Amino acid sequence: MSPRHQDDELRRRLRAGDPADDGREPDRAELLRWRRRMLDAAAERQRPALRPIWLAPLAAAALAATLLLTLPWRPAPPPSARPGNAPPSAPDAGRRDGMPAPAEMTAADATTPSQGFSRQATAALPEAMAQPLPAKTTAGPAAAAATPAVARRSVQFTAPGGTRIFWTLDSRLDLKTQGGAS
Amino acid sequence: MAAESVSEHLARLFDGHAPRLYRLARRLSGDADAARDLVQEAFLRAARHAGRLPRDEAGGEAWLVRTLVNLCRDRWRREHVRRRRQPSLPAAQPVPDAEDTALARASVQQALAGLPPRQRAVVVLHEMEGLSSADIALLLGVAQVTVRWHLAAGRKRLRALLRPVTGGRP
Repeated sequence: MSPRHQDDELRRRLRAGDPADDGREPDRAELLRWRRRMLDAAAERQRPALRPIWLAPLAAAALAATLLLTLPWRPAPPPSARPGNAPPSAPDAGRRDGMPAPAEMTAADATTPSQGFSRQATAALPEAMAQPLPAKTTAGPAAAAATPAVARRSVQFTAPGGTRIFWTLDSRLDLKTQGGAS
Repeated sequence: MAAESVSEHLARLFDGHAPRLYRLARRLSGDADAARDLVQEAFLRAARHAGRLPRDEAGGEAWLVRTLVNLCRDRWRREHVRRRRQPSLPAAQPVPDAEDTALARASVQQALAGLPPRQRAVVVLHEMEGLSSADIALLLGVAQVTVRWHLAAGRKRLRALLRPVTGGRP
């Protein structure tokens, strides 16, 4: 038998014994069920995409606030003893470039929220903590040494979405007297 | 005219290709229930990755066929590993039946199961669905020479596997 005839014979046998001809094909109702499942999966896939954009950083901010309020912390050293005690600078858009270390942050930094989601995150903060902190004096280290030391703690962290969050806490904050969250 | 939405695109692909994909899955998997699972999984993957689906008809069909073949291959590998771990299980045998067609079907099914997944897909698409080597190459995303190689090797192996049923005729 020539190779071509062999191929033809093989084809004939395969088609004669086609497994798909066993009469067990899905009927219309079953096909419609498959179709519905596929479309439901597509709709489900598209639905939750909008939620995590602002929710994840907000959740991270709330968690950080809880941790900071519950963990013990000590006051920051007096301003004259802290290295790099620069006078407060005006809020500017360049804050995003070369973020300062938390210990070097000043009140001006605290009043300038980082870009992006922080407006929403700030809105969700307890009322007392959303109030701006008073700016530090610009008289210099000598004058600063004469004023009573203000215990401040600055914390910087990154939300899951990549947004950087800066918190500056003031030891004078009293949630009870200011009606903040309990 | 507004651009077609994702759901409309998926629905159009399903309506145009679901029955045919089932027949292909039935030939590749050798089991009706497995074929049902494979087709549903292929379309669910299309729904999950709708953004990657080509918008044209030919591209969408090729994506679905390729996904189905890959799913069949994955299933074949899992079963292959399971058979290796449990060698005492008997291999599937054609069920003797009074009807010649049922016996022929079982023989063909068992013979196809003896081919590696990619080779089986090429043989099924060419010999049973009548596609050309060029079309198969486009569908599977491989070179035509690869298709021809798999076709030649698959035919040779099938002749050897089907020979005992024919009574020894080559």
